[in-house]
Amino acid sequence: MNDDKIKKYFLGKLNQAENSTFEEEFALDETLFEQAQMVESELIEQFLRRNLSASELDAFEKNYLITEERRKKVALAQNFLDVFKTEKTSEKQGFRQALAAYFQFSKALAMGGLAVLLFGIGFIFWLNSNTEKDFAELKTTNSDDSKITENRNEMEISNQNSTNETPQTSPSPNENINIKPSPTPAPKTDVSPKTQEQSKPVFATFTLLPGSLRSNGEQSIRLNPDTITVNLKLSLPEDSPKYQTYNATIKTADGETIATFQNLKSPNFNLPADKLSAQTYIIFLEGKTNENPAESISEYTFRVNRQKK
Amino acid sequence: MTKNSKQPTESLQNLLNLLGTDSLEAANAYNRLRSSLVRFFILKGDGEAEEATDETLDRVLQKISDETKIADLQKYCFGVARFIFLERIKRSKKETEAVKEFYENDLLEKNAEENDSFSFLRECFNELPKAERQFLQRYFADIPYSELDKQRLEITVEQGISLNSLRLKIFRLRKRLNECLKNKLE
Repeated sequence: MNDDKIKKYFLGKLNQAENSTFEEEFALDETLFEQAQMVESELIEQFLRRNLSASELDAFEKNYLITEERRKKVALAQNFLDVFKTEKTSEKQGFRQALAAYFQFSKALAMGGLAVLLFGIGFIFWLNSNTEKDFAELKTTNSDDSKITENRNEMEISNQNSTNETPQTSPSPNENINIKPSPTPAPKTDVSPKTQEQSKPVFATFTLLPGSLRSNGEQSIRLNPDTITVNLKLSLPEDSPKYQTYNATIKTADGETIATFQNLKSPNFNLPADKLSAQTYIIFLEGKTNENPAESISEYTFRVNRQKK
Repeated sequence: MTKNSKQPTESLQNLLNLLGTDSLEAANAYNRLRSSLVRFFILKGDGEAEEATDETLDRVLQKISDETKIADLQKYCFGVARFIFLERIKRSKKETEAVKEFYENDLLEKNAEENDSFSFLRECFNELPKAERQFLQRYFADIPYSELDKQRLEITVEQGISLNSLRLKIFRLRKRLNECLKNKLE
């Protein structure tokens, strides 16, 4: 069966007779049914990657997104694609962490080696301290010792470098924004989601880092006028314990509450883009465990910039 | 045979008689019919495909007990299923309203569930063998679609498989991830 026809079915572009025949044929045949599901998931991916033509997008909204289940599928597919955005970075981090661990191990190995060597030197010295020949041997060994010490210093430097390379601030920074708080004032960062390149973006996903970053350069997000839904993912501070649920409150800098989210299972949520105007916002994040009441985790300050049409 | 069915046994027997001459053949035909109806509702995007199928079969049994003449049972069942689907969709929100809500307030209410999905999906992804993770990452790389198409073609060449086989492989991997997610959400 032609994939194009399947796509037309999901976009509601088949006539009634074709539609009925299609449904019966595909429901009766397991292989065709699997093909239809495959094309359906690809269609959703095209929608999320903004790769549908204007008429297809229109048809998708009018004829595909008509049931709760299908809307859930789209939301799930968005999460699925987001996993790859974040996993790409964590794989890199994993490599860096492995590198750091390697140097940590090498350092321990060198330190251990040095200890064994020093013990050996002492032992040899104790055995042969009376002979000049043996003393000469000891001098040779001592020069080896200094070489090892030099090597150890090199390893320490390597280790430091690899640690410095490891992102400290975000466990899963999203490529779309990639804002890092820095101990030195950072230039103002203004990040746009990929959506702005496209004609009709729908979702815009941002990862926010904890802290009030005004002094370090404010983190900001840029919204395209066509953006309808904003997905905000809050990176937890590195030392944050694990909570069962999270509460988030978004306020303007003047203290006006824009939205509150209770009992989130993870610190990310969606917000209609029209709730955000061009100003500074602060998100207050709290965490709760079954045993303890809500406690403050961090604040996230960010500025919204709106792109003009 | 249907959940919560209140139909008299007689009409069920009549349905089975329409499906096959001996009881085993009829039972198999019934199961095939039921599975087809479930797939029909999944295609339609009904989140409770099993429930909708039960509703359809109950309605068909009702018609049989009313002694309605049914020439082609399979076609008749799909016809009833279409009708049931329309009823179910009307019972939920009006379509245009629902789409609007999908973009707006509705999303706020669903946040908890979606957030769970994201975290669990990541867990499921990380539970996959490394080769499969890398394979998925490459297939769904966050790059422009035109480049992605090229990259996917490269994968087919490297793996010596057709594009259709690659798509199916990916689809089945995603299905596994979805099943893992479903288990974690339960």
